[in-house]
Amino acid sequence: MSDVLLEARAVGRTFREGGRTLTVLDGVDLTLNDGGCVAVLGRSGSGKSTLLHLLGGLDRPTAGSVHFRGTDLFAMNELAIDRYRNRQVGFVFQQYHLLPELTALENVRVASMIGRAPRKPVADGGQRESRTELRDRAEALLTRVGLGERLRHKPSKLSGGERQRVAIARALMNRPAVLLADEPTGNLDADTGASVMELFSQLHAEGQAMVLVTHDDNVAARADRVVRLVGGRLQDESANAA
Amino acid sequence: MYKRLLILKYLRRKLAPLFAALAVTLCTAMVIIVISVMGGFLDMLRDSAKSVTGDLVVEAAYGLRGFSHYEGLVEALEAMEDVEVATPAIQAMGLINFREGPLPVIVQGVEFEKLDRIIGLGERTMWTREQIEERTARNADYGFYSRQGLENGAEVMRAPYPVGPSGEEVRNEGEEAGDGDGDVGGVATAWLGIEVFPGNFRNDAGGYDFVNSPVGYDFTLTVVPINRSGTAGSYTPSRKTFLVGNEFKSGLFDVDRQTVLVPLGVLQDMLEMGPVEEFVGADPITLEGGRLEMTEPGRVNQVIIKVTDDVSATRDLQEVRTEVEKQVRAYFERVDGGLPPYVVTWEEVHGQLIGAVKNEKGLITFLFVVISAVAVVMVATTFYMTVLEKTRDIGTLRAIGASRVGIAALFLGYGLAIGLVGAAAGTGFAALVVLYLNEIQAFLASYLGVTGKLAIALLGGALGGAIVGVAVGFVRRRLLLWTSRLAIVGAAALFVPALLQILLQDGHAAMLNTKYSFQMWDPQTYFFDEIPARLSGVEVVWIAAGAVVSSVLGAVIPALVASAQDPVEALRYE
Repeated sequence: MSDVLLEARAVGRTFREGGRTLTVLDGVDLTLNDGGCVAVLGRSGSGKSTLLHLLGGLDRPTAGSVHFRGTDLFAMNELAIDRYRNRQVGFVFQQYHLLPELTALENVRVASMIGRAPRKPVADGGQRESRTELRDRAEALLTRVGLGERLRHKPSKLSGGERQRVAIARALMNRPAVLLADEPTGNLDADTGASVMELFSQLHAEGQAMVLVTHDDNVAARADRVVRLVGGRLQDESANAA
Repeated sequence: MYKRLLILKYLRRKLAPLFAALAVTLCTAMVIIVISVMGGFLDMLRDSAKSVTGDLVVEAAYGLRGFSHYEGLVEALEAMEDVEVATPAIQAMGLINFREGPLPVIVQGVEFEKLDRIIGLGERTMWTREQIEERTARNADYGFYSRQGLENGAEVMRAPYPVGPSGEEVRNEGEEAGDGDGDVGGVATAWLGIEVFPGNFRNDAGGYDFVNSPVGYDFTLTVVPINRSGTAGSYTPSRKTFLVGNEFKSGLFDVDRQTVLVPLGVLQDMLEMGPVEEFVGADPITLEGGRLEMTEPGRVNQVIIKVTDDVSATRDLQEVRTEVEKQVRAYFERVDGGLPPYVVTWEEVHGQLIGAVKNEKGLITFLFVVISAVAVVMVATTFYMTVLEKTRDIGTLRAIGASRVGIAALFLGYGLAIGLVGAAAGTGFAALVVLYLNEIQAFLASYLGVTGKLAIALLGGALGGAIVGVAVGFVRRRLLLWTSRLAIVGAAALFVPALLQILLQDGHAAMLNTKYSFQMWDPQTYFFDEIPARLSGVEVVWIAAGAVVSSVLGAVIPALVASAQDPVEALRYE
């Protein structure tokens, strides 16, 4: 059995707005194994994105806890959580969220510029990567997502699908343990969406763990396991394959 | 590293950093220019003040009563290691009369040669030997002096009188040289401050014309002698006729307006301050066997001192002042000369004037620093807008692992970069303005008409063209293309005819330049010919550093706002 990578235990999240309390998540339990892929389905406003933000350490739960490889995320100090987001998590957003002043290549590299340079995999020696190596790897990632010819283009010169590919390359730059994708095809037409999902499938096939938040059943169908958020609670729908 | 990358990218954005940097640039330049001009003004004033006063002045304790034994004092002072030259002098109030009514003046009795060594009087002389010789010859031909009713006119007309501080004299061929004390043919000569004679006035260039000068004219000087007990009642006013030998300009209006330099011996006699000799020891009946003896030594009320160049370069003048004062006290104890005079530095002599300008400089600098707070507000506003605009980017950066401290540092770094760019540009601009201030003023005074016409044609044409371009571009849906295209056409359409008219139409350029000129420094009003300005490296560094710090301060609140943003809300910001 695979090791547990990320685990939400009885996670709750409430917001206070206009004097009343709004419960978005209520006792959610979710487990993601190393190399696993979980799809979270749900209608708009069901709390899918909130769950993703909690798993990624962007937001704090009001109840319960989130554990990464057994460590309680929110028991760590703020800097450690920042480092967790930088090194262990790769976010992919529906709105891409690329930095408009930077080129595609710079957008991919920027994640590796925060903090110290990432280390190579243990199999390759585990040393910190040099600036040239990082640059080469960013180029390789963009080439892999099909943008090898558009390294110097700014986001404004790229199509929606291309932007999302840049965002995926950025998310992969620091070799994260888990990809957290929030409606990654939500802004794309069917064909482009399919090609982006194909990329996710390939990554998953290579052992990349990921959580896909979507309201598209076709996207969810590619995951090992599909859960649905209804009324702030999680309902396990299927376990497609181990 | 991501901060440096983003700061460089943010700096290349268009208007926001430009406006912020421009605010810092203008404020930096403004403060540097004001401080340099005020500092230059103060420096020039100090130079002038120092140059007319010497380094140290031994002043009589009882003012006009003066002190005796000054000859020995001068010798004792000149024997000191730090003293280069010392000369006795008398300063008194007087009235001069050019037949147009009396004018109050400060009369200084001086030894011209020594005073020249102390304050460089020769360099401050207004008129050359040639000018004076020519006038002397011409006036002699016209019999000018005799018509003015000078008693011994014919004699004076040919009389030699000193034109240089060393007693060099203009005299007609075959005449004997004077005795060097300036008292020639019974008529003493005097040097006047350039503004003393009412007929002198500054021309457009800020200079004076010899044609108006009183050199060679006579005037009467009236002084009131003060006796040893310090009262004026014992003597009747003393009046004497002088010739104007030359005029000088110190640069200090008050000095140049009321100072008259006359030979020390002459003034001493007029003020009854000279040595008194009496016939003593004679038989009271037969009046035999007596001898002439000095019963009262001569008096002066000042000794002017120049210290050695070594002191000016390495030592504080105050230290030398203390030593000189000790020497003066010791000397007066030795000769039993009564209450010893005190010693003041040139700065203390002109303390009020210099202090006033110093205060002005301080006040104006403070005002401009307050105005510069505008730069801080401008930077803060610009950055706050940038933070709002960059809210989603802040969310993105937090999502990929940037810390709150990192986000704050990013915007503080942006403030620092804007500050550095603005301060560097401001310093460069201010340096150019300060170094070429007089050239700029001369240009504006001489070529404003032509330059203004060409600039108005160029800018007016471009603006008109751009307005039409906006209309055409709006209709044709190519706003930028038509605006830029018609702006160039409009500028050319007005500029070329204006240029041709200036080049081809006779007198047009001259008419424009005469009609439209801007003189920010009128040398007729101020006493310095040029706008005084000097760049002080230390001040420039402080101001530039202040600008950078202001810019960073302006970025503090926006940086804190940015770092405090909730990353989830920032990501959702529309």
